[in-house]
Amino acid sequence: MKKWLFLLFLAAAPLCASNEVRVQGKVGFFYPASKEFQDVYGGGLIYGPEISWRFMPCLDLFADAMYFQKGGKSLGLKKHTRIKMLPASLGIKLAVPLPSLEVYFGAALKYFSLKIHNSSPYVSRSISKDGFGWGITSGVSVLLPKNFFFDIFLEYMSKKFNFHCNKQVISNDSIQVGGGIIGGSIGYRF
Amino acid sequence: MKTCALKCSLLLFLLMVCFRLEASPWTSPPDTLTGTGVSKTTVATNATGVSVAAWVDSDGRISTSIRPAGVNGSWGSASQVSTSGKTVTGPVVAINDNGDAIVIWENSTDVTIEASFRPVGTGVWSSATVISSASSKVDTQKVAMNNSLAVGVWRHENGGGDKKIETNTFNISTQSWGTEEFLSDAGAGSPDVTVGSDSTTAVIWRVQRTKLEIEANIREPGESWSSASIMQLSAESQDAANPAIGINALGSPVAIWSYQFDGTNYVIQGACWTGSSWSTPVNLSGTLASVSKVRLAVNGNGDAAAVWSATTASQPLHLIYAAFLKSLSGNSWTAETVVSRSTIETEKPEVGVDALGNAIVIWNEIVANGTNEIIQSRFYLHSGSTWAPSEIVAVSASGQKGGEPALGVGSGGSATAVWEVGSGGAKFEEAAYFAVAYPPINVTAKRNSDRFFGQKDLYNKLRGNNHPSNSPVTYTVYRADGTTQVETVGASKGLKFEEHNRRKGIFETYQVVTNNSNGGQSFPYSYTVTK
Repeated sequence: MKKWLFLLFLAAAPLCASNEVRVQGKVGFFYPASKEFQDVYGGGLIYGPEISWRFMPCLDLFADAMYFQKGGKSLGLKKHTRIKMLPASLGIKLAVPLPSLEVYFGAALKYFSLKIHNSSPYVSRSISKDGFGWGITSGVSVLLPKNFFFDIFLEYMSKKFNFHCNKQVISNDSIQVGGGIIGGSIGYRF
Repeated sequence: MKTCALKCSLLLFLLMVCFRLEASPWTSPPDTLTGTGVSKTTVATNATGVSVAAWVDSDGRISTSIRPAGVNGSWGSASQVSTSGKTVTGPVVAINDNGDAIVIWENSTDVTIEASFRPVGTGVWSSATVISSASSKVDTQKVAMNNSLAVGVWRHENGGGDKKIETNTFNISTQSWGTEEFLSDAGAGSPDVTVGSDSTTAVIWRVQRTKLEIEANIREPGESWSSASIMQLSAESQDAANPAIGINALGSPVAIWSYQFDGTNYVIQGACWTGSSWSTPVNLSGTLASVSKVRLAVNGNGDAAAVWSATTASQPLHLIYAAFLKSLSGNSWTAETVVSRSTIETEKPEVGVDALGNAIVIWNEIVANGTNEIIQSRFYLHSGSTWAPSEIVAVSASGQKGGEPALGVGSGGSATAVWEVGSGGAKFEEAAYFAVAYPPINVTAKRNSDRFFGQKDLYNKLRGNNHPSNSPVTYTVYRADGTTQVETVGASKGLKFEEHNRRKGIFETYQVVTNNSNGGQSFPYSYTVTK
């Protein structure tokens, strides 16, 4: 399988070598992988910019930063809680050109920055967590006139944090903050 | 070694006494009700907690005093209601739910029963009124009242030595007594009377037939007494004594008495009015060697509490026993329970029952050589059929010679106890008030969780409704030890208590005390948290 992918990459490289830079704005729906995340906050809008550089034929180096913010209620006393998450990525995409289209697959190292505020004195009120995770993405770019393009993508990102705190609460040793994203973007090719 | 043991025992005793005093729901220290040289104090309490007391004063006259409801109430100044220069004794009092009060007593000088009425509107006691017929002796008077009438009964002896039960009825709306009339045949005594809220009146007495028998007469509302309605309650084969009677709101009386079933030993028996006849008597007690006092209290629902002081073949000390009848249970009484300590001589039990069937029993406990007599009490919780708290609660202070306890319990649950302190001419009366406070109802004690993302707070949740007979201000929640306070929470919307950050798998027990607007505190009631 790896061999075939490599051969596909070599065959497509001359076709897409352009050394171009792309800038795009991405908007998607984040669907948390964790049931607890789903129960407390649910999914929601996630958005952010992405910049990519086609440094090799059919290979893009890309960086993005997505922002997710959602309020919710605790499961029980329905106390207000809010989560803010900023996953920033640095990764590589493999693009497969088709007429007026590009199909791409990518993988990235992600740095998650998480902040939670709980309106309850009986749990940790403010939680800040940072750490590296990973993500994979796939999508289709539709090349539009005048260097614009439109993109539809699927993404999955993963990061587990533990939530130990000083209060006498039941805390999760490892809980997933990632999940899937389906979204679209619009961008410009330089 | 002996000294050490003695000190330890003394310390333990003091600790027990201190604990009881701290835990006492009675007002403490007691009120000083009278001056010295008084005797024969009686008390009654109505549904709202207002109490009336009467006693024979040091100058030989009948005095009365009114105490408003609530723990902060204080006894009003005494009013002398009997005529000076007369020898009087044996006052008995009653107070209705409106606050009208009545007292009747024996005038030994004129050999009459006299009465005085205090309408709540004026708050003034009427001058003494003779309510009995001419006699050579009257005694053992009793009185009962509702919002419409009051009925007095007593034993009347004529010049020929005939002893009959005589009665008279007081009409509250006209504030006038009727004509006295005899209820029983000759040879009667030990009368007791009860008046239902519907004005059904029942009188019970003991009368000499072949044996001493218990008889009763019931007067329907608006009707006159009829000798045709006299019914025999006890069996003819042996002597019966100590009759007591109470009545529910529907006009159905309950009666108890002692019965010398084998010519030597006694049992306490009870019977209920079925609407047309008395039920077959049932035994409330086991075999008793002697019976000294029998008391009965009945509420509007027909819940009854019976207490008696008795010895048995194996227990030479007089102990206080109790049995309870729950409404709608026919004539089926609970098994007798020993109310007092089994190692101490006791005497003179009194009992009252509130509208919910909760009962209060007080008695005199003769601790040591008769010089240290304490008035003790216990509280029976109808809903759980238990004594709550389980221990005996002292009413009077230890170390003094208390005696002659009297008790008034209103249907609202508040109560007043009075007792004499001291001896000889130095006797005076003390009083303590119990402001009722009931526990919340429909209480749930659950373990819940409040789940945030990544964290879960386990908390205990107590929920309950305010008791409909209460005006609770707060609830105080203690740990299971009953002394470590966790929190005092408001009661405006019932019992709402939460304790957070609990440990998984550990389910705490709480004790909750109701703090009522009348200043009363309930006993602590335990609730254990479940999943």
